[in-house]
Amino acid sequence: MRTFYIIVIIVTAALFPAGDDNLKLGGYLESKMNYFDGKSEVTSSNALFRLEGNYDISDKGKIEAHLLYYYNLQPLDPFHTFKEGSIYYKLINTYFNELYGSLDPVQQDVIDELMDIYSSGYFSHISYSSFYPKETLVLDRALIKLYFDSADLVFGKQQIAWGTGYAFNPTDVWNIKDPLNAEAAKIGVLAANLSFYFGENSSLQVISSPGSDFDHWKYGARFKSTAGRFEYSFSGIRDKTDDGELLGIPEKLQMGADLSGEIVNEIGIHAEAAFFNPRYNGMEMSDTDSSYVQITAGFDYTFNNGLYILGEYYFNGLGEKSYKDYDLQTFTRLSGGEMSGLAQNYSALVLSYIFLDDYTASILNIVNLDDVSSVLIPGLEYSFHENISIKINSNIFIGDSETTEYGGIFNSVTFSVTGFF
Amino acid sequence: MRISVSILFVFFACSSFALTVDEILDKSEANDNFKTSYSVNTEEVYKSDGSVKISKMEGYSANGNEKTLMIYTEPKRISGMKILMLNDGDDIWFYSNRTNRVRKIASHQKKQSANGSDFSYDDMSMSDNRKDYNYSLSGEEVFGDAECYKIMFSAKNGDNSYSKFYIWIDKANFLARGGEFYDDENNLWKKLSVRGIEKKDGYWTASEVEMRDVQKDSRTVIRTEEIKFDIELDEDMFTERYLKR
Repeated sequence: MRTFYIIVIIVTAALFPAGDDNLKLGGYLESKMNYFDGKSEVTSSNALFRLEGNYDISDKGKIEAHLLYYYNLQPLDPFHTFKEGSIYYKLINTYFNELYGSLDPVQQDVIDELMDIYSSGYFSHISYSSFYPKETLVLDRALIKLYFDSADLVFGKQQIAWGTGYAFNPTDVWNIKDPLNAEAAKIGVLAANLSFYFGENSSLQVISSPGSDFDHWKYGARFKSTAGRFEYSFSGIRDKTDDGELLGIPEKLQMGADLSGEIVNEIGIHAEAAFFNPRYNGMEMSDTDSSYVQITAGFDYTFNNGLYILGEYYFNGLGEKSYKDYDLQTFTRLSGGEMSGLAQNYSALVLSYIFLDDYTASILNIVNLDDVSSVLIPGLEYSFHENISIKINSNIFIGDSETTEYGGIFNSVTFSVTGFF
Repeated sequence: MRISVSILFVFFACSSFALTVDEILDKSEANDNFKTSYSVNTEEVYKSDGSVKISKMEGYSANGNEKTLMIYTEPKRISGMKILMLNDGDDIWFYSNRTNRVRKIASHQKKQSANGSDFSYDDMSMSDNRKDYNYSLSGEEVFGDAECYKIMFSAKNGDNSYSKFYIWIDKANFLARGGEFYDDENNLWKKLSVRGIEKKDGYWTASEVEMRDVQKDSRTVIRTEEIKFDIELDEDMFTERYLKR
């Protein structure tokens, strides 16, 4: 598969003559080193190469392709950041115990032997060795845009960004989340995306994303417009996907709305709300017994001295009020991108300040208001050059390690350098 | 973007009799009567440590400066980023090509530095300062080599970018030649200088605008490499639809 992509790149480059003003190539290289303050003091390193290509065919259309090429030196266990006895540790153990229990004795013996090897520490070196494949190629975007008089069609793998929230986006349900990597950016979704434009600032977007059969196609529409100093939208989605089938996420209907604008004293406000009606086995789509809502509301402001502040509240109707109710389904809903936290109530606070021209200090704090645990992410970014930035940030988790969502995760420090080309 | 900031009022006509401050400002703003414009600009940010950062952008405007679209072409970090300003800068949208997301920014974000320069988005936009500030003619002075009207603007409330500022408007051509801007504590913050004034396609314009931050000891120079007026532009350029193209 890798060879295929490389051939595509070479052929593409060969097709477009050098110096063609319509072809724009760019992207960035990002190199990261992470240190986890766990009991075994794990380190990991990642390199990411992002190649962005855009070709303006004419005023009638455009081709766009973005490739992400990762090289990861990291532990084999994707859940290495969780403390023993933590909520996540227990949930993962429950899952494996259930899986183990469903195996026959011969299969269990094989697992036992593998576990013995794993416990000996042998596996901890495998994924760092030069023999282990560490490269991943991801096609984030590969699309063709067609421009009509009153409509644009975007056909292919694309980023579809819905919603106005910053830390929490209940209506941003198109792009794909990696269930094994909570920090990974969402990648584009394969879809046909048709937008009709009318009036000065109004549009109607109709999207369909294919699946294994028509029953597993995802359909959605969104109307967006402005009113005075506010922008708003209404959306609806019928969501049944093959990812959902694998993760046990049911078919559901979603109705959403969002707005952004400003109120007195130039304070910016934003909000998103989504009503979900899942259909579990045996239910009709008209049954609303399992319906729930997710709501985000926030504000932001820049003081005259340059300090930027953003606050956000998130209500997650799919989450649990108490940590005792967290179960495998809760974990699957989180990792599958159905919600942004295990609990029901969250707050987020962002402070950002530029000083000495080239330095940006920031801090992000997300609090689980139900179990009163939080993650604090202080960061410092230095603009070494117009196209090179150096960043250091830390994830500091606060809370009881066995009874709270964030308290059970190891602290970490990340150092990264990014160069744009 | 045509080199022109909110405090750059331009020439219309010269008159020999005493003018009121509104008449001076009306004449100054009246030069924005071009239908459309296109420009290529270079922005040089000179830091206090001696380093220089350079950005390049293309600018389009329509109905004077009522509608403005800026597209950054350099540096690569922000290449493709677009800023759409409508209603003389009252409404601003940002487009990031990396996330494919368009965001309408609230007015408070206009106070933020535009791409790390000494200009804020408020400076870059065409906001009607007469709406947000009290203003009066504070005298007549020589600024550079030009006889000028000196006009003082003082903030109506604490939400404005500046507590007060002065603008010097050339008596001969009603073009702004310079300015001084004061922070919340009434200390001098920034100084504006306008250079290279010439007529292009029948419109007075400046080929170089400098904003100096006297508190940080940095300065930003915006040079116009190319400018055209009254060219054919598609009105759709100034819409969210175009930002995503």
